[in-house]
Amino acid sequence: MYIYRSTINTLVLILLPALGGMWTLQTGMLNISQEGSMLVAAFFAVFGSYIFSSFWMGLFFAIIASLVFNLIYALFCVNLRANIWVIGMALNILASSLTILLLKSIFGVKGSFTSDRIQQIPFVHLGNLGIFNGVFNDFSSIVWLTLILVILFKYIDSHTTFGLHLKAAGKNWRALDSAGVSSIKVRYMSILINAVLVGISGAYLSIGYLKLFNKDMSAGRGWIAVAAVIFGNGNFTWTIIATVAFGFMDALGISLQTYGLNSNLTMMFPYLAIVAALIYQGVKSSKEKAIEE
Amino acid sequence: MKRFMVFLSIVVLLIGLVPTVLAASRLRVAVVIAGELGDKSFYDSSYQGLTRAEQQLGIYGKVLPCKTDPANYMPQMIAASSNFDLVIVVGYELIDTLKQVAPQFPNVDYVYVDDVVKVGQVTSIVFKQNESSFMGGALAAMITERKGFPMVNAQKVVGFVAGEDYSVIRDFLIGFKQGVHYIDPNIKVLTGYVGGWDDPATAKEIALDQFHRGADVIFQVAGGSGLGVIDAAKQAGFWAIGVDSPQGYLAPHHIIGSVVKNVGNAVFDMIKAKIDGTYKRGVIYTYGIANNGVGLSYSKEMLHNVPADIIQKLIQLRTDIITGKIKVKSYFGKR
Repeated sequence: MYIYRSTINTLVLILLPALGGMWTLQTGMLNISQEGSMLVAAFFAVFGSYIFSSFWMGLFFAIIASLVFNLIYALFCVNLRANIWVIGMALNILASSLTILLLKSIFGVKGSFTSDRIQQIPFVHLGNLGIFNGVFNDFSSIVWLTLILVILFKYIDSHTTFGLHLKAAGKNWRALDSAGVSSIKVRYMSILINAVLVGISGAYLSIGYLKLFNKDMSAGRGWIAVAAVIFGNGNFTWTIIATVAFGFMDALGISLQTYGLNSNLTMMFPYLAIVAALIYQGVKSSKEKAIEE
Repeated sequence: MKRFMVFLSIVVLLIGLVPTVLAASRLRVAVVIAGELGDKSFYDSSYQGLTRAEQQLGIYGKVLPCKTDPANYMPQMIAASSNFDLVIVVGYELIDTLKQVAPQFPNVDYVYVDDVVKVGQVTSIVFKQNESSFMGGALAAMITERKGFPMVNAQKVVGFVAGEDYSVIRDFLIGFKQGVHYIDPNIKVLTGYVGGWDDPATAKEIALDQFHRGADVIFQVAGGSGLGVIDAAKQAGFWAIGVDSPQGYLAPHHIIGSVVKNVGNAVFDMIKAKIDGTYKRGVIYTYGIANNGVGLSYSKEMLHNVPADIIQKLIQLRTDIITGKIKVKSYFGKR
């Protein structure tokens, strides 16, 4: 039954950026720089946690780093109307090289860094729950935080004016501006909220789930989140379904490998799920277009 | 003013030339690696060999990393070939590029580390990782069977986690399995592949999955990803086996020993042979357990963790492999 825990552990990493990315997409900005932000956040989480021997400082540094990174993205894409792909890709490449450079100049190591001084984000032990021990116990506190955030996001998304502003900024920003709400401000808000979420997920990767930094350790998770966002197309339920499906396929791949299935086959699983989902999305939207015409 | 600027630029150019002229008298050695230094195992070990040669033999050495980006393979290989006398190539990703580049630079000597490349002047170094992996397997099997040993459960299961599935890794796996089954044919070996050398999170997930299926000793051959297995060992409480370099210091209470490959020694030997004039082009040098090219680390952490009778048994097994009493199977067939 380990597949359940495995799913949860991997799921959190893509759920947080997918939630944030969903809101930026609603405002009309697909955030491509998730992979880079996550990596930078993961690095600064280790940095903060190592320097101060406190996971709080790790989280703090991760979120600040992610905010700075996303502000650059926002400045170029919202104010200067640059192409999101160009800026996003540039930031992702920057993140990969920047973290290697910082690793070398700050810690004097190449490739990876780990130390006993790094304090890990604590795990939550709820006491003895009998048969539910494996279901609820000993998850990282970030897992529970994510659960709370998902509920909070669902509420804001469909029950508040801010949720409406987000959608209005994407669908018809002139109408939003004429209603006296700055669409640029709404876009900035969505990008900064996304930055905080990606920061948390980066910190979870390096000091929550693991206790080390390795170059390029985000290993495509930011991209999987982007794919989930594209599939969800701004819809809360579909974004969540897509993320859970990807997380489960990832865990399933690992589990089937241990049973002896060829690894080259199982490693395809999450990506197969993405391709299938995007094909479905493409067929659906082309049908919708046909109806509109 | 203009004349002064011309003069100044000539002086600057000449100053720039000084190190090149000085270096010209020394042997110039480039180590082209497919990934990036800092894996704490394979690449770092070859780098150590190069630095040792710099200090002891007075050569000029340089590492050219390709950062696992295929767009870098060709330019780095050509840069190395045009500026260096001896080019040492590390990483299976570079084999095809080497095959294309080597015939175009007939005056340059190439050494390929860790597999056989049969092209013109290329000299190959092969490691019998199946032999050291056999030792690792025997160690894992004896630990998992030991009753009352810390962190060992009743199930007869051990694990194997690798970065990617390719020839050298298969050679590791064959040796490991044979070593495990030499001690007890009933022990089950679980295998898992991460799908990359820089993804510790997935590696940790695989290791925990194997742990929950009863594996209490897990051998990782996964570069940077392997650190995730060691992290899992610390968290969940099982034994990991390190790879390539002695990794015991990373987790003294959770790494039972390391299966090492002395890439650095081989690199150093090649440079020394080149200086001594004994270097031979186009031959295959084999580093096995007999000439200490591969083996177990026997570091102070390992000697502290492993009971003395198991160490004795391991030394006995090593002798049996050298004398041919035990024949370790290889993925590469006969070499």
